[in-house]
Amino acid sequence: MLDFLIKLQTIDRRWIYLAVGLACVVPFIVPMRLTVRPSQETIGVYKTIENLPRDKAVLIDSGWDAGSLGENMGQAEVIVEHLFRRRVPFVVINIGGSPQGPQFMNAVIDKIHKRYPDRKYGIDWVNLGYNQVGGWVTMTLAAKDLHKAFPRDYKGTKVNELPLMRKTRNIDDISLICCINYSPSEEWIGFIHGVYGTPIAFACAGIQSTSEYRYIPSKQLVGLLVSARGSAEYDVLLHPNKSEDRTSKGTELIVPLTYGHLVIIFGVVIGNIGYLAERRRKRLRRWE
Amino acid sequence: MWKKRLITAVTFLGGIYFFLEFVIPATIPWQTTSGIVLSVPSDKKVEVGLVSKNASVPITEKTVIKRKTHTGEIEIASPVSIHPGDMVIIKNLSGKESIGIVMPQSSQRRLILGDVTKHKMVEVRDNSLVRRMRSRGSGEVVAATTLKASRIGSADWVQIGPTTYLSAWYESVNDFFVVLGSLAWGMGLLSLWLVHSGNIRKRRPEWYLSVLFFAAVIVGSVAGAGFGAPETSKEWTKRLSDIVLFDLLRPLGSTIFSLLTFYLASAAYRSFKAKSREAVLMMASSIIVILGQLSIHPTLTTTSTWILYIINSASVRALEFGLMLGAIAIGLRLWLSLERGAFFDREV
Amino acid sequence: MGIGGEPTTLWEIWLAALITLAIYTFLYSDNKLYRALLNTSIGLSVGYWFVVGWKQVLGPKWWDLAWGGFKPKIPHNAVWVTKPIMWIGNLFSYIGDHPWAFTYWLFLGLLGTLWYFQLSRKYMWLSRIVIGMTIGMGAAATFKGAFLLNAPQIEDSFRPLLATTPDSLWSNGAPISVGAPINWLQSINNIIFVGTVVCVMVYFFFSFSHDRKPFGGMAKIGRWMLMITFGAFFGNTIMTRMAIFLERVQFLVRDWAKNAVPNTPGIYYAYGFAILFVLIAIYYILARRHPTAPTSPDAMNKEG
Repeated sequence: MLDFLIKLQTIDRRWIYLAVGLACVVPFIVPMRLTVRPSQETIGVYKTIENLPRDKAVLIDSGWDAGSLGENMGQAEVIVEHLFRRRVPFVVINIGGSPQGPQFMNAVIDKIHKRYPDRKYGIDWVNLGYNQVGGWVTMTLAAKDLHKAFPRDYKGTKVNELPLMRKTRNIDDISLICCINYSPSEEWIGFIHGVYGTPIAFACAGIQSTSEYRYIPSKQLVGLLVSARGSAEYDVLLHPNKSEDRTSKGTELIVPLTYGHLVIIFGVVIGNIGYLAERRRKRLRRWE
Repeated sequence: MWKKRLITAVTFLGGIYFFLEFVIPATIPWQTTSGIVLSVPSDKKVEVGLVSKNASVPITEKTVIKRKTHTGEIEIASPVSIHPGDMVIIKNLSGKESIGIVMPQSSQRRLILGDVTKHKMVEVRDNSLVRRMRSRGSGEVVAATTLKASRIGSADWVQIGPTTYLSAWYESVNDFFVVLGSLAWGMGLLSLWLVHSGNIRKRRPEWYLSVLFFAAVIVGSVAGAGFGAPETSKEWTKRLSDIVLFDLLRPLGSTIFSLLTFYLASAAYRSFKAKSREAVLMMASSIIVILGQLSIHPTLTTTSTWILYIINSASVRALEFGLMLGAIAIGLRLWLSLERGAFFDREV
Repeated sequence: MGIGGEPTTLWEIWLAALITLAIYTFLYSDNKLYRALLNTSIGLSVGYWFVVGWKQVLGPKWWDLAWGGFKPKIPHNAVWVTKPIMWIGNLFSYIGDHPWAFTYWLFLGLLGTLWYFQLSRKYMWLSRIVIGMTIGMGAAATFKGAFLLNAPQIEDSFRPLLATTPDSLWSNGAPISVGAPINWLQSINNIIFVGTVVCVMVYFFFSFSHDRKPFGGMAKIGRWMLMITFGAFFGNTIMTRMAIFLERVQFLVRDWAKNAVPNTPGIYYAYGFAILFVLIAIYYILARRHPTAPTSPDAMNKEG
């Protein structure tokens, strides 16, 4: 028995790859549902957007692209849906993120727009495209004069010709800044929240989130959407009763994500069983 | 010797602007007037009310804050929306009411309140800087005519004084260094070219991969010409750019990145062993956090949240404080060329 | 191109799927196909972003500042021999009209070329000039950013050790005041929080020996807290990596397997193709040449 347990720590790594692969693939073929409970940080973002005034716009800094699509796309979907639902106007910008950011964001907005067809571009939302300079310099310029930082939208239309932009000129006209990115820039917190006090919410990858939690107790962030589970939790808050209305990417990925994690934990557990068995064998031999 | 001195001088000059911009205030301190704006008679004159502290009030989310607008109306305000210069009425936890003007030293958990004790008419000269203080003592440069004035309610908090000129140049200096750094953009391609051309010239094993590399560079460069074209463009460069970006780079990049999942899984299996107390702690914490975030059970979720908000936040903060002190120490050593090591002691 | 740039035409879907499956053959064993795709990926990235780097930064911020307005006026009917001379004349008069722009462009350009002396053994010291400038700039610029970000964090770390009714369990609570009850749970949280901050900072403080009694104990607790934090880091890292993998799996299952094989209903046929492809790849790896040793670190651990 001890021999068998010791062998548990010498499984070929390719079997582990196969186990992880199967755990992730099977839920896509066999539909499954999982109970998702929203976390504190997700509720923070939801409550903030739920209480936003309708006469000011939300600024969304969206710099994600294909590399973080699995995590950021779902986050973008739920935030855009909430803003559309509450009829809070929003302005999409991209400061220093991926140059494809505006395209990916457009695709998300187009998808959600089908559910709210009466929302109009130029009135309910605007996409100002990409500013390659990036950094706090552009953020500060956008806070002082958004029209100067982004003179045209992503289609090339002058911002003065867009009704929403005529009443959104600087940080005073912004009620919340949402940064959706693999690693949102902390310069928003230092140079914008630190100077103007504007509330900020981050939607980031899981690997970055552990460093961002510290900003929540100090109220530098109102909340945090973490990876795909953040968007799955937000989906639950948006559609508490009808699970079939939850169609964000996070909701699609949460079940395979769960099984994949469970397989990894199982691997850690059996590896430790093998290790402890080997230690016991050594101790027994020493006594002999 | 002169070469080392030249490098030392250039290193010092490279950082002197940023250091001075950080250390020296935007306006000359002893000639700067700070207070709330009572009136703006013209674009060259601002009447400023000098404020003295009268109370310090702790704030929680349950604290009710009422703000007197610049027209004298009372409104309920959230702690997040309070700015220096706002006139507020706060009822604290023991029921006592405090009235005063919010001063810039306030934070979101403690408001420092004061009263106007003196009035002063300040002249805005050509070399003056008018800074509106929004929160936490940081300010933005504005024109005098954009200031919100009031004698009966909330107004802007302003600092007016002769400028030290440093902050006006920040964007230009920043751009200079951005371009200087970007001019090294050919180095990566040059290094790779040297390596791969050597492989082909000397017919090293798998030299055909280097040929493939150069072919890919040419295709990528041509496709780059289509970058930034409007989405509706029918140009062949735009089409090639889309194919390279979405049909080649995207699956290649995402898939190579996704291999890390498997490495993580096998690394966790092999090396996450209960060899010591610290290893057990790390293992237990990772399992709790993983299971907690996947909504397996409410107790696990609460424990996971506790770990993330209390232990993790505290540790990361302490790490960042240490990093901050280390960054400042190393920054000073590098800037003043006091650093020693293989690179810095190398013969020039 | 579909949502988020996803391929929608048949050949695009098949190309992306084959690339994905080919790279996943690396999980079985290192092979030529994987290395070929790796080199292709690096070459495409380097070439693409080389051109984009010019378009995004160097073009608008350096070249166009000097030459954006240069439009030489050469009459169409001028003799061909005189055209270059007229062009040069236009150039000099443009420089004369914009001396500062030209000087800035030239100065920055000359400084920028110093980077490339890294490749020369004799004149490498010239590259240290620009390296020194950049290091000096970066070192001085960290002061401002470090303080702006961390000052509120330092302030928030001073929490009341005896706290009264909290806003929520995950905030700081208020200091106790006359008449307000002590909330022990909040107080314990705050004590642990402040203690963790102090202990972790002591752990990284090497000016005193950790053998001394109070420091040794505090450093040990700091190490334990760091281990808990790294465990949390690891948990979230897995989530990120797995999300990237799941996005590829979703593409393979939903976009390729279900839709990409025309006139063949059911996903079984597509999976049949995939299995066939993988078997061909394995045959190629095993039968055509001696399999190369796996190169991932855990294989070396296994052998050790």
